[in-house]
Amino acid sequence: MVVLSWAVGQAAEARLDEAAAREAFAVDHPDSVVLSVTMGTDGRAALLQLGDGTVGAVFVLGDRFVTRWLTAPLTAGWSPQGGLRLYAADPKAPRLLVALDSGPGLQWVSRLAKLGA
Amino acid sequence: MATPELPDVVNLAVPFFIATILVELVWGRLRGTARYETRDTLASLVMGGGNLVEGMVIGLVAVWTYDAVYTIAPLPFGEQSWGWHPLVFIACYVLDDLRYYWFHRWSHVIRWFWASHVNHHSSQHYNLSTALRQTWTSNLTGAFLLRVPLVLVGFDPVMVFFSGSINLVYQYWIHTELIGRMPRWFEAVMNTPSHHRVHHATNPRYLDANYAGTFIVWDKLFGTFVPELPLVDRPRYGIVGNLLTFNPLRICFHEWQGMMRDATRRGLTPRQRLGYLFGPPGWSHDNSRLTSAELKAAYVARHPDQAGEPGLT
Repeated sequence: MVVLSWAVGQAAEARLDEAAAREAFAVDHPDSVVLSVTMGTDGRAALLQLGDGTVGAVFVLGDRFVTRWLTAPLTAGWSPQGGLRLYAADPKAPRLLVALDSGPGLQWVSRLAKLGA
Repeated sequence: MATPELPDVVNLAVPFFIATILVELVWGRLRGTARYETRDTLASLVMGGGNLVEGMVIGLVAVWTYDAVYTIAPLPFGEQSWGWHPLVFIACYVLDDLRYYWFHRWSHVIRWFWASHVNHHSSQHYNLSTALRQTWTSNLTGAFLLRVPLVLVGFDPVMVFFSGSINLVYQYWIHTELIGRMPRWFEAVMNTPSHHRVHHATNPRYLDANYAGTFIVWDKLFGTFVPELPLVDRPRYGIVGNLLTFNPLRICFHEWQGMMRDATRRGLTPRQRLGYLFGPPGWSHDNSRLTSAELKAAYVARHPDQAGEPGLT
Protein backbone atom coordinates (compact mmCIF):
# COMPACT_ATOMS: atom_id res chain seq x y z
CA MET A 1 0.00 0.00 0.00
CA VAL A 2 3.01 2.27 0.51
CA VAL A 3 4.07 1.61 -3.08
CA LEU A 4 0.53 2.26 -4.29
CA SER A 5 0.45 5.48 -2.31
CA TRP A 6 3.67 6.56 -3.97
CA ALA A 7 2.47 5.39 -7.40
CA VAL A 8 -0.69 7.49 -7.28
CA GLY A 9 1.35 10.57 -6.55
CA GLN A 10 0.90 10.95 -2.81
CA ALA A 11 4.59 11.52 -2.21
CA ALA A 12 4.66 15.04 -3.62
CA GLU A 13 5.81 17.68 -1.15
CA ALA A 14 3.88 20.79 -0.24
CA ARG A 15 4.96 24.03 -1.93
CA LEU A 16 6.08 26.65 0.55
CA ASP A 17 6.08 30.29 -0.45
CA GLU A 18 5.84 33.46 1.61
CA ALA A 19 2.05 33.51 1.68
CA ALA A 20 1.85 29.85 2.68
CA ALA A 21 4.43 30.39 5.42
CA ARG A 22 2.48 33.32 6.85
CA GLU A 23 -0.78 31.39 6.70
CA ALA A 24 0.63 28.24 8.31
CA PHE A 25 2.25 30.21 11.12
CA ALA A 26 -0.89 32.22 11.76
CA VAL A 27 -2.95 29.05 12.19
CA ASP A 28 -0.65 27.68 14.89
CA HIS A 29 0.32 31.01 16.48
CA PRO A 30 -2.65 33.32 15.95
CA ASP A 31 -1.42 36.02 18.32
CA SER A 32 1.84 36.51 16.45
CA VAL A 33 2.44 39.34 14.00
CA VAL A 34 4.75 38.41 11.13
CA LEU A 35 6.90 41.36 10.05
CA SER A 36 8.98 39.67 7.36
CA VAL A 37 9.65 36.27 5.83
CA THR A 38 12.97 34.87 4.63
CA MET A 39 12.46 31.94 2.31
CA GLY A 40 14.95 29.09 2.17
CA THR A 41 16.58 28.76 -1.22
CA ASP A 42 15.15 25.27 -1.69
CA GLY A 43 11.61 26.32 -0.78
CA ARG A 44 11.44 23.83 2.08
CA ALA A 45 11.69 26.21 5.02
CA ALA A 46 11.10 29.82 5.96
CA LEU A 47 12.19 32.04 8.82
CA LEU A 48 9.76 34.63 10.14
CA GLN A 49 10.66 37.80 12.00
CA LEU A 50 7.85 38.39 14.48
CA GLY A 51 6.53 41.65 15.83
CA ASP A 52 7.56 40.96 19.41
CA GLY A 53 11.19 40.49 18.39
CA THR A 54 11.09 36.70 18.43
CA VAL A 55 11.54 34.38 15.48
CA GLY A 56 9.29 31.74 13.96
CA ALA A 57 9.91 29.09 11.36
CA VAL A 58 7.88 27.01 8.94
CA PHE A 59 9.08 23.73 7.46
CA VAL A 60 7.75 21.36 4.83
CA LEU A 61 6.97 17.84 6.06
CA GLY A 62 5.61 15.79 3.20
CA ASP A 63 2.45 17.46 1.97
CA ARG A 64 2.01 19.46 5.20
CA PHE A 65 3.77 22.22 7.10
CA VAL A 66 5.26 22.26 10.58
CA THR A 67 5.68 25.54 12.43
CA ARG A 68 7.98 26.43 15.29
CA TRP A 69 8.44 29.38 17.54
CA LEU A 70 12.21 29.45 17.98
CA THR A 71 13.05 29.90 21.63
CA ALA A 72 16.11 29.42 23.77
CA PRO A 73 18.03 27.24 24.23
CA LEU A 74 18.94 27.12 20.57
CA THR A 75 22.26 26.89 18.78
CA ALA A 76 22.56 28.38 15.30
CA GLY A 77 25.35 27.94 12.79
CA TRP A 78 25.87 28.36 9.06
CA SER A 79 27.89 26.32 6.61
CA PRO A 80 28.29 26.71 2.84
CA GLN A 81 27.12 23.14 2.34
CA GLY A 82 24.11 22.99 4.60
CA GLY A 83 23.00 26.57 5.10
CA LEU A 84 21.56 27.59 8.45
CA ARG A 85 21.56 24.78 10.99
CA LEU A 86 19.61 25.08 14.21
CA TYR A 87 19.87 22.75 17.17
CA ALA A 88 16.95 23.06 19.57
CA ALA A 89 16.07 21.43 22.88
CA ASP A 90 12.93 20.12 21.23
CA PRO A 91 12.61 16.34 20.87
CA LYS A 92 9.95 16.85 18.20
CA ALA A 93 12.44 18.66 15.97
CA PRO A 94 15.95 18.74 17.45
CA ARG A 95 17.73 19.61 14.19
CA LEU A 96 16.38 22.24 11.85
CA LEU A 97 17.82 23.14 8.47
CA VAL A 98 17.13 26.23 6.43
CA ALA A 99 18.92 26.45 3.09
CA LEU A 100 20.25 30.00 2.90
CA ASP A 101 23.02 31.79 1.04
CA SER A 102 25.87 33.16 3.08
CA GLY A 103 24.55 36.74 3.38
CA PRO A 104 21.14 36.04 4.87
CA GLY A 105 22.44 32.91 6.56
CA LEU A 106 25.05 34.76 8.60
CA GLN A 107 22.56 37.55 9.32
CA TRP A 108 20.17 35.02 10.79
CA VAL A 109 22.90 33.40 12.88
CA SER A 110 23.63 36.83 14.36
CA ARG A 111 19.96 37.62 14.87
CA LEU A 112 19.26 34.32 16.63
CA ALA A 113 22.33 34.81 18.84
CA LYS A 114 20.99 38.22 19.93
CA LEU A 115 17.73 36.61 20.95
CA GLY A 116 19.70 34.76 23.56
CA ALA A 117 18.80 31.66 21.68
CA MET B 1 -16.81 -24.22 32.71
CA ALA B 2 -13.66 -24.31 30.58
CA THR B 3 -12.49 -21.13 28.89
CA PRO B 4 -13.54 -21.34 25.21
CA GLU B 5 -11.08 -20.93 22.37
CA LEU B 6 -11.55 -17.42 21.03
CA PRO B 7 -10.10 -16.04 17.80
CA ASP B 8 -7.43 -13.35 17.77
CA VAL B 9 -9.70 -10.76 16.17
CA VAL B 10 -6.96 -8.16 15.66
CA ASN B 11 -4.78 -10.52 13.64
CA LEU B 12 -7.83 -11.83 11.80
CA ALA B 13 -8.73 -8.25 10.88
CA VAL B 14 -5.34 -7.44 9.31
CA PRO B 15 -6.40 -8.44 5.75
CA PHE B 16 -9.52 -6.30 6.20
CA PHE B 17 -7.35 -3.41 7.37
CA ILE B 18 -5.11 -3.71 4.30
CA ALA B 19 -8.00 -4.05 1.85
CA THR B 20 -9.91 -1.07 3.22
CA ILE B 21 -6.82 1.14 3.33
CA LEU B 22 -6.23 0.35 -0.35
CA VAL B 23 -9.85 1.17 -1.15
CA GLU B 24 -9.70 4.44 0.82
CA LEU B 25 -6.39 5.37 -0.79
CA VAL B 26 -7.70 4.92 -4.33
CA TRP B 27 -11.21 6.22 -3.63
CA GLY B 28 -9.86 9.23 -1.78
CA ARG B 29 -7.46 9.98 -4.61
CA LEU B 30 -10.27 9.81 -7.18
CA ARG B 31 -12.56 12.03 -5.14
CA GLY B 32 -9.82 14.39 -4.00
CA THR B 33 -10.42 13.62 -0.33
CA ALA B 34 -8.79 11.37 2.27
CA ARG B 35 -5.25 12.43 1.51
CA TYR B 36 -2.49 9.92 2.05
CA GLU B 37 1.18 10.81 2.25
CA THR B 38 3.53 7.97 1.39
CA ARG B 39 6.04 8.39 4.23
CA ASP B 40 3.30 9.20 6.72
CA THR B 41 1.54 5.96 5.77
CA LEU B 42 4.76 3.98 6.03
CA ALA B 43 5.43 5.43 9.48
CA SER B 44 1.92 4.48 10.62
CA LEU B 45 2.35 0.91 9.36
CA VAL B 46 5.70 0.55 11.13
CA MET B 47 4.16 1.89 14.33
CA GLY B 48 1.32 -0.61 13.98
CA GLY B 49 3.72 -3.52 13.49
CA GLY B 50 5.79 -2.43 16.47
CA ASN B 51 2.67 -2.25 18.60
CA LEU B 52 1.85 -5.88 17.78
CA VAL B 53 5.37 -6.96 18.74
CA GLU B 54 5.25 -4.94 21.96
CA GLY B 55 1.92 -6.52 22.82
CA MET B 56 3.33 -10.02 22.30
CA VAL B 57 6.45 -9.38 24.38
CA ILE B 58 5.75 -6.84 27.12
CA GLY B 59 2.03 -7.57 27.02
CA LEU B 60 2.83 -10.88 28.69
CA VAL B 61 3.20 -8.93 31.94
CA ALA B 62 -0.43 -7.94 31.63
CA VAL B 63 -1.46 -11.54 30.95
CA TRP B 64 0.41 -12.81 34.01
CA THR B 65 -1.05 -10.03 36.14
CA TYR B 66 -4.64 -10.75 35.11
CA ASP B 67 -4.18 -14.49 35.59
CA ALA B 68 -2.77 -13.90 39.06
CA VAL B 69 -5.58 -11.54 40.01
CA TYR B 70 -8.18 -13.97 38.67
CA THR B 71 -6.99 -16.65 41.08
CA ILE B 72 -7.98 -14.44 44.01
CA ALA B 73 -11.26 -13.16 42.51
CA PRO B 74 -14.06 -14.00 44.99
CA LEU B 75 -16.48 -15.03 42.25
CA PRO B 76 -14.69 -16.01 39.04
CA PHE B 77 -17.55 -16.04 36.51
CA GLY B 78 -15.62 -18.03 33.94
CA GLU B 79 -15.85 -21.09 36.15
CA GLN B 80 -19.63 -20.83 36.49
CA SER B 81 -22.08 -22.45 34.08
CA TRP B 82 -23.35 -18.96 33.13
CA GLY B 83 -19.89 -17.40 33.03
CA TRP B 84 -19.75 -17.21 29.22
CA HIS B 85 -23.40 -16.32 28.68
CA PRO B 86 -23.81 -13.61 26.00
CA LEU B 87 -25.24 -11.23 28.59
CA VAL B 88 -22.10 -11.62 30.69
CA PHE B 89 -20.01 -10.85 27.63
CA ILE B 90 -22.12 -7.77 26.85
CA ALA B 91 -21.69 -6.59 30.44
CA CYS B 92 -17.95 -7.16 30.17
CA TYR B 93 -17.76 -5.26 26.88
CA VAL B 94 -19.72 -2.27 28.19
CA LEU B 95 -17.71 -2.08 31.40
CA ASP B 96 -14.44 -2.45 29.49
CA ASP B 97 -15.56 0.35 27.18
CA LEU B 98 -16.14 2.49 30.27
CA ARG B 99 -12.65 1.52 31.43
CA TYR B 100 -11.36 2.53 27.99
CA TYR B 101 -13.05 5.92 28.23
CA TRP B 102 -11.22 6.77 31.45
CA PHE B 103 -7.93 5.26 30.28
CA HIS B 104 -8.21 7.34 27.12
CA ARG B 105 -9.19 10.48 29.00
CA TRP B 106 -6.23 10.11 31.37
CA SER B 107 -4.03 9.47 28.34
CA HIS B 108 -4.78 13.03 27.28
CA VAL B 109 -4.69 14.85 30.61
CA ILE B 110 -1.80 13.08 32.36
CA ARG B 111 1.54 13.49 30.62
CA TRP B 112 2.84 10.09 31.80
CA PHE B 113 0.15 8.38 29.71
CA TRP B 114 0.22 11.04 26.98
CA ALA B 115 3.90 10.22 26.37
CA SER B 116 2.70 6.86 25.09
CA HIS B 117 -0.58 7.87 23.48
CA VAL B 118 0.78 10.90 21.60
CA ASN B 119 2.11 8.46 18.98
CA HIS B 120 -1.41 7.81 17.78
CA HIS B 121 -2.08 11.53 17.32
CA SER B 122 1.23 12.42 15.70
CA SER B 123 0.08 12.33 12.08
CA GLN B 124 -1.31 15.44 10.42
CA HIS B 125 -3.39 13.11 8.27
CA TYR B 126 -6.60 11.40 9.22
CA ASN B 127 -7.17 8.21 7.31
CA LEU B 128 -7.46 4.51 8.00
CA SER B 129 -3.70 4.12 8.21
CA THR B 130 -3.74 6.56 11.13
CA ALA B 131 -5.71 3.97 13.09
CA LEU B 132 -2.72 1.64 12.85
CA ARG B 133 -0.30 4.28 14.20
CA GLN B 134 -0.20 2.77 17.69
CA THR B 135 2.14 3.16 20.61
CA TRP B 136 5.03 0.87 21.48
CA THR B 137 5.07 1.85 25.14
CA SER B 138 1.51 1.39 26.37
CA ASN B 139 2.28 -1.49 28.70
CA LEU B 140 5.27 0.38 30.14
CA THR B 141 2.96 3.06 31.51
CA GLY B 142 1.16 0.52 33.68
CA ALA B 143 -2.17 1.38 32.06
CA PHE B 144 -2.99 -2.32 31.81
CA LEU B 145 -3.65 -2.24 35.56
CA LEU B 146 -6.86 -0.34 34.84
CA ARG B 147 -8.39 -3.65 33.71
CA VAL B 148 -7.58 -5.36 37.00
CA PRO B 149 -10.93 -4.37 38.61
CA LEU B 150 -12.80 -6.18 35.81
CA VAL B 151 -10.84 -9.36 36.48
CA LEU B 152 -11.19 -8.95 40.23
CA VAL B 153 -14.95 -8.64 39.86
CA GLY B 154 -14.85 -12.03 38.21
CA PHE B 155 -14.78 -11.65 34.43
CA ASP B 156 -12.51 -14.23 32.83
CA PRO B 157 -9.27 -12.52 31.68
CA VAL B 158 -9.75 -14.12 28.25
CA MET B 159 -13.14 -12.43 27.97
CA VAL B 160 -11.65 -9.13 29.07
CA PHE B 161 -8.91 -9.39 26.43
CA PHE B 162 -11.44 -10.43 23.80
CA SER B 163 -13.63 -7.41 24.61
CA GLY B 164 -10.62 -5.11 24.31
CA SER B 165 -9.67 -6.63 20.96
CA ILE B 166 -13.14 -6.14 19.51
CA ASN B 167 -13.14 -2.58 20.83
CA LEU B 168 -9.82 -1.94 19.09
CA VAL B 169 -11.12 -3.33 15.80
CA TYR B 170 -14.28 -1.25 16.14
CA GLN B 171 -12.21 1.89 16.45
CA TYR B 172 -10.39 1.20 13.18
CA TRP B 173 -13.16 2.21 10.78
CA ILE B 174 -13.82 5.58 12.47
CA HIS B 175 -10.44 6.91 11.31
CA THR B 176 -11.64 8.24 7.98
CA GLU B 177 -12.80 11.42 6.30
CA LEU B 178 -14.67 9.52 3.61
CA ILE B 179 -17.67 9.01 5.87
CA GLY B 180 -19.50 12.17 6.83
CA ARG B 181 -22.27 11.43 9.28
CA MET B 182 -23.96 8.15 10.15
CA PRO B 183 -27.73 7.95 10.81
CA ARG B 184 -28.82 10.16 13.71
CA TRP B 185 -29.64 7.28 16.07
CA PHE B 186 -26.21 5.77 15.45
CA GLU B 187 -24.41 9.08 16.03
CA ALA B 188 -26.32 9.44 19.30
CA VAL B 189 -25.06 6.20 20.80
CA MET B 190 -21.96 5.01 18.97
CA ASN B 191 -18.54 6.47 18.34
CA THR B 192 -18.37 7.46 14.67
CA PRO B 193 -15.92 8.99 12.17
CA SER B 194 -17.45 12.43 12.84
CA HIS B 195 -17.02 12.14 16.62
CA HIS B 196 -13.51 10.78 16.32
CA ARG B 197 -12.38 13.45 13.83
CA VAL B 198 -13.11 15.88 16.64
CA HIS B 199 -10.93 13.83 18.97
CA HIS B 200 -7.97 13.96 16.58
CA ALA B 201 -8.30 17.67 15.85
CA THR B 202 -6.06 20.39 17.29
CA ASN B 203 -8.52 23.25 16.88
CA PRO B 204 -8.93 24.70 20.39
CA ARG B 205 -12.63 23.87 20.58
CA TYR B 206 -11.92 20.22 19.83
CA LEU B 207 -9.03 19.66 22.25
CA ASP B 208 -9.58 17.05 24.97
CA ALA B 209 -12.94 15.86 23.67
CA ASN B 210 -14.65 12.64 22.55
CA TYR B 211 -12.58 10.00 24.34
CA ALA B 212 -15.03 7.18 23.62
CA GLY B 213 -14.01 3.79 22.31
CA THR B 214 -17.25 2.24 21.12
CA PHE B 215 -20.05 4.14 22.87
CA ILE B 216 -20.07 7.95 22.62
CA VAL B 217 -22.56 8.01 25.51
CA TRP B 218 -19.65 8.09 27.99
CA ASP B 219 -18.56 11.49 26.67
CA LYS B 220 -22.10 12.77 26.90
CA LEU B 221 -22.40 11.38 30.42
CA PHE B 222 -19.10 12.82 31.67
CA GLY B 223 -19.28 16.16 29.84
CA THR B 224 -16.52 15.74 27.26
CA PHE B 225 -18.64 15.45 24.11
CA VAL B 226 -18.09 18.05 21.40
CA PRO B 227 -19.88 17.74 18.04
CA GLU B 228 -18.03 18.22 14.77
CA LEU B 229 -18.75 21.56 13.12
CA PRO B 230 -17.13 21.09 9.70
CA LEU B 231 -18.56 24.28 8.21
CA VAL B 232 -17.61 26.45 11.19
CA ASP B 233 -14.33 24.91 12.28
CA ARG B 234 -12.95 22.24 10.00
CA PRO B 235 -10.79 19.82 12.00
CA ARG B 236 -7.02 20.20 11.68
CA TYR B 237 -5.23 17.02 12.66
CA GLY B 238 -2.04 16.29 14.54
CA ILE B 239 -0.71 17.55 17.84
CA VAL B 240 -0.05 21.00 19.27
CA GLY B 241 3.49 21.54 17.95
CA ASN B 242 3.67 18.89 15.25
CA LEU B 243 6.58 16.54 14.73
CA LEU B 244 9.09 17.43 12.05
CA THR B 245 9.87 13.84 11.11
CA PHE B 246 8.47 10.55 9.88
CA ASN B 247 11.04 8.58 11.87
CA PRO B 248 9.15 5.90 13.89
CA LEU B 249 11.71 5.96 16.70
CA ARG B 250 11.26 9.67 17.20
CA ILE B 251 7.49 9.33 16.85
CA CYS B 252 7.59 6.70 19.58
CA PHE B 253 9.97 8.26 22.07
CA HIS B 254 9.93 12.06 21.58
CA GLU B 255 7.48 12.78 24.39
CA TRP B 256 9.22 10.40 26.79
CA GLN B 257 12.47 12.19 26.02
CA GLY B 258 10.93 15.62 26.52
CA MET B 259 9.15 14.60 29.71
CA MET B 260 12.26 13.09 31.28
CA ARG B 261 14.34 16.09 30.28
CA ASP B 262 11.81 18.40 31.91
CA ALA B 263 11.43 16.35 35.08
CA THR B 264 15.16 16.03 35.65
CA ARG B 265 16.22 19.59 34.97
CA ARG B 266 18.12 21.37 37.75
CA GLY B 267 16.54 23.56 40.36
CA LEU B 268 13.05 22.13 40.45
CA THR B 269 11.12 21.23 43.58
CA PRO B 270 9.84 17.65 43.91
CA ARG B 271 6.32 18.96 43.31
CA GLN B 272 7.41 20.59 40.06
CA ARG B 273 9.09 17.38 38.91
CA LEU B 274 5.86 15.50 39.59
CA GLY B 275 4.02 18.20 37.65
CA TYR B 276 6.10 17.44 34.57
CA LEU B 277 5.41 13.71 34.94
CA PHE B 278 1.78 13.65 35.96
CA GLY B 279 0.44 17.11 35.19
CA PRO B 280 -1.42 17.80 31.95
CA PRO B 281 0.57 18.01 28.70
CA GLY B 282 1.70 21.62 28.29
CA TRP B 283 2.08 22.20 32.01
CA SER B 284 5.29 23.97 33.00
CA HIS B 285 6.61 25.26 36.31
CA ASP B 286 7.25 28.73 34.86
CA ASN B 287 4.06 28.99 32.76
CA SER B 288 6.13 29.12 29.58
CA ARG B 289 3.82 26.64 27.81
CA LEU B 290 0.11 26.22 27.39
CA THR B 291 -2.16 23.37 28.41
CA SER B 292 -5.30 22.52 26.44
CA ALA B 293 -7.41 24.47 28.92
CA GLU B 294 -5.17 27.51 28.47
CA LEU B 295 -5.28 27.16 24.68
CA LYS B 296 -9.06 27.13 24.83
CA ALA B 297 -9.10 30.17 27.12
CA ALA B 298 -6.78 32.06 24.76
CA TYR B 299 -9.05 31.19 21.84
CA VAL B 300 -12.13 32.42 23.70
CA ALA B 301 -10.30 35.64 24.58
CA ARG B 302 -9.74 36.20 20.84
CA HIS B 303 -13.28 35.11 19.95
CA PRO B 304 -15.52 36.12 22.87
CA ASP B 305 -18.61 35.67 20.70
CA GLN B 306 -17.93 31.91 20.71
CA ALA B 307 -17.70 31.59 24.49
CA GLY B 308 -20.06 28.95 25.79
CA GLU B 309 -20.15 26.96 22.57
CA PRO B 310 -19.42 23.20 22.88
CA GLY B 311 -15.74 22.75 23.66
CA LEU B 312 -15.35 26.41 24.62
CA THR B 313 -17.22 26.53 27.91
